[in-house]
Parts: sequence; structure tokens; C-alpha cells
Amino acid sequence: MMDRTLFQLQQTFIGEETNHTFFYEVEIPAGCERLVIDFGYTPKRLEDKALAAEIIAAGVRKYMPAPYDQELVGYRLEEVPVVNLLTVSLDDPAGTYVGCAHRHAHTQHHEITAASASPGFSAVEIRPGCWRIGLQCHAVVTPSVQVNLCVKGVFPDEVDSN
Amino acid sequence: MKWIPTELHTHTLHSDGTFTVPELCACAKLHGYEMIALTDHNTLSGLEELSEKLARQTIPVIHGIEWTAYYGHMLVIDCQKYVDWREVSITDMDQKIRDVRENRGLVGIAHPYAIGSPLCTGCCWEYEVSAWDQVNYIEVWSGPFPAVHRGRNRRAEMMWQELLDRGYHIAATYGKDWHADVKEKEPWGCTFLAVHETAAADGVEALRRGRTMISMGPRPVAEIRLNGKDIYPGDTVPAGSVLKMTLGMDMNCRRGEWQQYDFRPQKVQILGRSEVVLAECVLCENAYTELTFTAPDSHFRIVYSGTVMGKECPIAFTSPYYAN
Repeated sequence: MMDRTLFQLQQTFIGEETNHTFFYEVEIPAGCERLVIDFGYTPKRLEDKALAAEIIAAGVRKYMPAPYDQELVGYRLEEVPVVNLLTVSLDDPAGTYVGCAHRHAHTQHHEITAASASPGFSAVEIRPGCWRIGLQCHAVVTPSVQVNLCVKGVFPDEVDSN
Repeated sequence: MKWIPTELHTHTLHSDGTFTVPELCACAKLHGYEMIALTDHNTLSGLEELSEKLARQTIPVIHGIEWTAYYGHMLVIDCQKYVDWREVSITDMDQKIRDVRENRGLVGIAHPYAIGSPLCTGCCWEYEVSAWDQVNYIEVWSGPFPAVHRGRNRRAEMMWQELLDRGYHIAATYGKDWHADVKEKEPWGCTFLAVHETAAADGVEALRRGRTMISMGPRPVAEIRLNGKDIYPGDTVPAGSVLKMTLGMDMNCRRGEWQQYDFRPQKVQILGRSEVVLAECVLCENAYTELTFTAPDSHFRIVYSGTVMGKECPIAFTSPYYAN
């Protein structure tokens, strides 16, 4: 293997955990030059159409009550996807915010080095020490959602010269 | 001082937009904006792609971020230090707002009455705020055809008016919340900033001072003088001051962006507390109107109305002027 797994999370989240950030500490050894974060969750979409319709109707009642709901006339509300949204953020050992990948893809791959980083993250030196990953639960609309989060480190003597 | 068209709420691939940073800047220039703020969701990484060269080739960019938090989205502009929202609860946003202001940042409330979670996570502003004196601006209009799609925008107007009536000094902006360059079928909006130079620092200063106007089409014109001095939105004048106003709409500014929607300005009103009409006059398309107006003992703002695509509606408005 080119890299070493430094952190792995496989956990189920439920609706009550919506609107909370969960932090995880990741110990990065000296010599690490690249962090690789693979993040995914499933399912993405609430496929139960009846429940989705209920959630949409509740959202309209709460956020766009009559007479303001006139704005929604003509919109095909039943086609609005009701989805889970979880994102990851990262802080370095000094507590400096490295960034976040706030987007809807439910499978994400990020790499961070001193010279470059995946969109959403800053290129930073991979200092040894305790890094912190934030898992932002913006929405869990399905009965539960399975999260997989893996952090790998790539070390100089393991970098493939090819 | 000049008024420049801007968009202060934009996204790139660094969050969930479809633009690269250079593409966003180039596209903004193509659409007639002279400045934008880059406000990606929960990240500052896109700002690292900005350069003087890119600004020269396209337009200047104000540094920003959109806190895409759980109970509201907050635009943080030009903050000198990263302030973290991730552990803020629905009741303790005040301290975060103060933290931003203490680090010279500006605070703007984004689309406060958009549909919220889980359909659009955190999009409706639900944080309990008492530090409204620390809030610089509210996106009073957002989204397409804001004067006609009144669900979110009328409620934002009422929220803003209520805060002004309570004595807070809060500017208005428009937020396109620009994620992609899609073909539009309705007019969107634009925030005009009053600047000395077309430079990001001047844009930030305009926003800080509340020197903003919002329009769905033509640029609103409000040349106001008091004792030979120009008065801008955000300024404070003595109550009872006699103001000489030249009011109208510049039908040439960004014309290519809105002319297909048949804008016909018809009247201008000056609104005071509780949206009471303090003065009113007719607008002509090709001539400006002169008005003498006595400042009340509170705030006032100017609203330009007419028809757009055959619909009677407000077209544009200024941020408040204040009087005491």
C-alpha cells in the first residue's frame, strides 16, 4: 500500500442528529505529506414518496405560510428532492480552519498537501499532531444514514515514483 | 463617487457552484457586474485563487464566506480572522456576530425568508439575534423577479422595515446567490455600491457605510444635496433638513441584462417609518425629476416603481437615509 489508514469511521446517524456537528480527532504522524479523505453516506435521497410529500408540505406550512405561498404556485413541489446532507470540514493541529466541502455529492474524495488541495480546502503543511475532522449533519431525512469516513496519510517513502 | 453594479453572493466549485473562480469572475464581467463578493459555503479556499492579474483581466472581488449554518445563512465579508460557526446554537449567534465585527468583518443576513430545512438546509434565518446593531445588511431581495415573487422577499422587506423602525441602521442588498450561469427567463436583481474607485476595498467600505441601492433593472438615481454636500444612503442628516433631490432611473446601465423584460418606471416614493409615504412623484423614462424634501425625524428610503413584463411592481429601492 502507498498509504496508511489513520482514521476510519463507520457510523449510523439518525434524524435527531440533524443540525449538529460531530468532531473526530485524527492523529497524524510525522513525515506525512498528503492527507486523503474519503467520505460517503447512503442513502442520499428519501425514496418514500408519501413521507417526502409530508416533509415538503410541512416545510411549506412552516416557511411559506399563506398568503406567501402564492410564490410557489406553478412549482412542481412533488418533484423537489428530499435529501440527506452531510459535509466534512477540517482543522489542523494549530486549530486553523483548513476548509470544508459543502456540496451535495454523497461520495467525496479529497486530498490535501502543502502545495495543493481539493476544492473547499486550503493547501497546508501536513503537520504532525492532532487534526480535527468535523462532520456537519445538515439534514438526515431518511430513518437513518450510514456514514463512511476514512483518512489516509501518504508518506514520502511510500510515494509511488510512477 | 460613482455607483457600480455588483453581485455580493456567489459560489464556485469550492462549495456547490459550477464555476471555477476565474470562470465566475469572467462571467460576472460579461453580465455587466463591476465587482462581486465571493462567498462560498463554509470555505475561504476559493479566495486563494484570486490575484491582481485576475482582477485586472476581469473585475475586483470582495473576500467573503457564507456561513451555511443550521438555522440560517450569514454572509461574512472581509473578516480579518476566520470565525467558526460550527458549534453555535440557535440562541448564541450574537457572540459570533460580535466576533466577526471585532475582526473588522461585515455581517449580512442571507435570504432570511427562504424555505428552510430540510428542503434547503438552514436557508431560513431562525437564529435568535438581539445584536442587530452589529448586523450591517440584510438581503432584502433575493432570487428571481424579487418584486413579484413576494413570498420570501415581502417578508424580508417587513423584517428589515421593522428593524429600521426600531432604530437600527441596516443596509439592504440583493442576493442572486449565484451558483451557475443559467439562461434566465425573468429579471433578477443587482446591488449597486457607491465607490470612489472600482476596488474591492472601496466596495467593502460602501457596504460598511450602507451606501447601497437595489434594482431588478435600470440603475436608480438619487442625487441628494444638503448645503452643497452630496448625501448617500447610510448617511445621517438633521431632522428637518431641506434636501434637494434629483430622482430617476438610468436606463442605460447594464441595459443588455434587463431590456428584454420591458421595464417602465412610473413613480418614485419616499417611505418613512412603517412604510408611510412621505413624498411621491412621477418618473419619466428619459428625464430626471427634481424634488425638495424635508427630512423626517427618522429614517427614509426611496422606492422606484412601475411595470415589468406588464406587472405593476417595485423596481428598485435605496438603502435608508437616517435623520435625527
